[in-house]
Amino acid sequence: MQNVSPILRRPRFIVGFGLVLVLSVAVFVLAGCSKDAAENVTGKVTVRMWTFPMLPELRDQEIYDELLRRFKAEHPEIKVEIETLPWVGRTQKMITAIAGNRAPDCVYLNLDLVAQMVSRDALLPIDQYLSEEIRQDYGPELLDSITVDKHRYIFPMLRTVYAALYNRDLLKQAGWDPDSPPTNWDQLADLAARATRDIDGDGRADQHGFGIILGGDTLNGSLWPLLWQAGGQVFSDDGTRAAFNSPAGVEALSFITENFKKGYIPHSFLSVSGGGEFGRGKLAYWFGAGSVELQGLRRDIPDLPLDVAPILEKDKRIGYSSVAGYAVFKTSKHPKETAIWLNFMTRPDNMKYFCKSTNYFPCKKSVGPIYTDDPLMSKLEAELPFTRPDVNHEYARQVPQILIPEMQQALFGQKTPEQALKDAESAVNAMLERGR
Amino acid sequence: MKSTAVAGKKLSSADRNFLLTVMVPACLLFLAFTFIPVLMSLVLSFTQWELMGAPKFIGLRNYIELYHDPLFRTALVNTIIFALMYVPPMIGISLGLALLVNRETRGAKFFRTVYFLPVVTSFVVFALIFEWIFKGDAGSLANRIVGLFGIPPQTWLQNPDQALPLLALLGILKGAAWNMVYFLAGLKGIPDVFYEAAAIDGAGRWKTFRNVTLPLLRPTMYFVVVLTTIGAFQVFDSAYLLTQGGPVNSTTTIVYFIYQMGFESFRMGYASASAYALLLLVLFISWAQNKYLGKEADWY
Amino acid sequence: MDRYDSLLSRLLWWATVLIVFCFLVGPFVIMVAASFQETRTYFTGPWDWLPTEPTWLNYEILFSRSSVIRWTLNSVIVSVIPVIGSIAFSVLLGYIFAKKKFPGREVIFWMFLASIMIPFQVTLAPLYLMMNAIGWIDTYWVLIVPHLLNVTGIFLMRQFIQSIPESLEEAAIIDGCTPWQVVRHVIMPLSKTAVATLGTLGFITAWNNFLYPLIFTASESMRPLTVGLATFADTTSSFGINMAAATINFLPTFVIFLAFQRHFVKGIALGGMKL
Repeated sequence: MQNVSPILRRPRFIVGFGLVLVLSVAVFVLAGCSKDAAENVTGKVTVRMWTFPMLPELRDQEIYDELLRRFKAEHPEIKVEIETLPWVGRTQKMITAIAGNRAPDCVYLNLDLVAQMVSRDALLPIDQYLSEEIRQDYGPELLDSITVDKHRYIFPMLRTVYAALYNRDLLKQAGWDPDSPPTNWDQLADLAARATRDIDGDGRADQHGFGIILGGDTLNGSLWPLLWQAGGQVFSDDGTRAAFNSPAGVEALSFITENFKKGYIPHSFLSVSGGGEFGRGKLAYWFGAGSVELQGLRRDIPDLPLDVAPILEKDKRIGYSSVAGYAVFKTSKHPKETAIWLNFMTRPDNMKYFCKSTNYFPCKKSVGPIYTDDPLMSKLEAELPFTRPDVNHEYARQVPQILIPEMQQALFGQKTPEQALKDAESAVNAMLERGR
Repeated sequence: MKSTAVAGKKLSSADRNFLLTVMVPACLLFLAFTFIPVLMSLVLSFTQWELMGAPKFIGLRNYIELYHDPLFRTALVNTIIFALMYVPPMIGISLGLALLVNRETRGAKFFRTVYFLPVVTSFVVFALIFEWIFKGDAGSLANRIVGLFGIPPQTWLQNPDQALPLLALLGILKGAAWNMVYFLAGLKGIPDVFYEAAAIDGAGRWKTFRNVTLPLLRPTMYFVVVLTTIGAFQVFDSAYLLTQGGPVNSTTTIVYFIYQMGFESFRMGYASASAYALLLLVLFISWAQNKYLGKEADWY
Repeated sequence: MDRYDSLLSRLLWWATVLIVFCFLVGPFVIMVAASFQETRTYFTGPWDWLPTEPTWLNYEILFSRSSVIRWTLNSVIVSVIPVIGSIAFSVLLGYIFAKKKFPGREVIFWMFLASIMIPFQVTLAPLYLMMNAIGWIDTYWVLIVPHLLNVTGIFLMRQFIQSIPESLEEAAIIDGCTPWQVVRHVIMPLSKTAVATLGTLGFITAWNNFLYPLIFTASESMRPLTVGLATFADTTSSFGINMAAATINFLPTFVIFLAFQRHFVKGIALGGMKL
């Protein structure tokens, strides 16, 4: 092998030094370039917006390009810069930017984060930018759901529907009419009992009745809709106490635990990435699945005999739909121009274009149904009137952190549903107490 | 001659200049970009700070709450159990791998290269495939393998008793090659003369390993043990990606707890206090390791 | 250790080596293979991730729709410069911590070590506020300067330099070498393997860093490859694209490893010893 004396290796040091030199030059040249680009726009107001990828393969860019082209024609005096950030690490990114006073003018935000951000005084109320006409187009119910402390903080853009998906072949196999899926809890339990099967005869089910996500960090697609259907609610009306430990809550959690213990719900649903069984045709019914799952499954497994089931009914027929829109940061130097841009983006024609391109549902009534050409999406769209948005509370996102582990203890029989709800209730009340 | 001989010597002026020129910029860099943020987070641990607005001084309240917080206790226990399941096998396996490919045959060179692949494979991919292998349904690869031994199918990552050991296994698979590289470097640093001497003495392979390789590898061993331990106490990615702390909080580790408190509940002060509790624990363990492994090499 | 004679032991070696091979290399094979698959999500398993009709589509999308070249250049800048800096500091400080006795040495070393025991999640916010105050957010400074000092590297070099015999160093000093010359002509040549290890692993760590550059950069043109590529992962996560992105990200790190690999070859490390 090479037995080099130190002197002989000097050329390599020079090479290394040269490399550093070249890189340093590159640093300054590149840094210079980006600065020039930013300074070119003096005289115009620049609105900065952060958003996150909604479509695979960065195809969002085309949507924004089109919207910006339309906007430029109407408002040449305002320049809009849109930046797409990764989903991963978004809370850290947003919060540090706010803390450092470097947040953009506006950001895409899911409704469930709004109350929390408002309580930290990060967002600007936008009531004055919502004209009477706009308010009527959103409708009182949606406006109510985005109201925090009597003010509105987002321009709602899109909704998703969490209804259910089912496998037509497995329903037929279980003796059900594939055109009339379950509509209430008892029917679902009946389907689950018949569809759960041990095909290879090893004593364990390898095909399951239904799936419902039992892990992760949200209950919006699982326990909350069941709780609402049974007539319960998450917080008391004045928001000072937990209200899920009620007869309705016990009913909802017992429904899950009983079916889980009977083996009708596959264990894989204890993690958020559950749903694999459904894709492989081993799950009859997927509670809480919606447009996102539908699009993914259609893209990847085109031959799956899949259909959309209606939202279930017990005392009420009610499910969950998420609402997302654009919020303005309090630190924005151009709130007026930002509002002009956001009102433009959420104008019915642009909202229709945006939602249709991203496979979501529009928030404004005047947009009308947009999926008439797509039978399954159209079925989901028809469920929208039976949905409600997120729980509107400052601590709405912390409750699942407390309740999910308790729920899992009930599933594994370490606690009764009653005890689990009671323990979660006292922990949530302690948190609310501390927050005041 | 022992290295302690230097201790008696006074530093020459050349030495002093050398020390100053190196230590001053290094310490400045350290102070500015590491020490100050660390100190700031210590200060924050005595405050209530929700990342927006100003921090509010609340004395020891965070630490007192931490002491009574059952979730923090769970996280602490989980982390310690994780470290016990992770560190010893990791050291054994990575050293084993290094010994396996530490020779100059063409085969060894090839495997040395491919074993390095997990180090540069994205962790997300690793986690995805791991998750697929250990799916809870009867048809998963893991269940088919245990089925060969007559063991009924398990639910793996969805089982509160199995999730944490599985995360340890994932960490070992992903990280073993990383430590293998350190051990390889350590093995290369052992002069041939020692092996030649051992061969002349007629020592067998095991004896050579016990009496030559292992003692001479001690500096590397100490380094790998300390860093692996620190890494074990900071495990986060796998719990975040695969189990979100569940089921039943069985994979809530301290850093996962810190993340939840800081960036989901916006309680930065409380999160900082938990980080300092973690620091005390790890510092104590490292100090103990230093006592038993950290002695300077003295083989000449 | 190199003398393997019996057939049995050779067979045993191959068996072990191949089993480990399957465990460690499987994920890598799937990563590369799936990058040639059109699209598949988490609904499917590895067998479906293997492409039936290989296609360059994912790579075409990545290269045509994004600034992959610019991001790669950023990654090179923010990995290479800190690694060169940290190697220099690690060798010098490792030498000092291993061989020079001065008051406070142990305290300083343990403070360095303790600093990496605090998880990044907690120092993140204070560090951000600090960088913001000095106006470094979204510049190359923030991605380079804090990483010039690498505590792991210092620790590694300290451990290696500890095992370099005192006699070699003393001989050099008697010959009139300054401490700089001792490092240059005695320490450096003898710890080549460690430096190569440090360089390779340090480069890979810097290259794969995600959360730090995500938070400390603002504009798209400042992003390194990891952050830029992450914007391709939408909510339903198209597996093929993600794997193509991961493969692009992987290639440079593997090239670096291959380049440094020859320094792991036996006989160089303590070549001086045998003289």
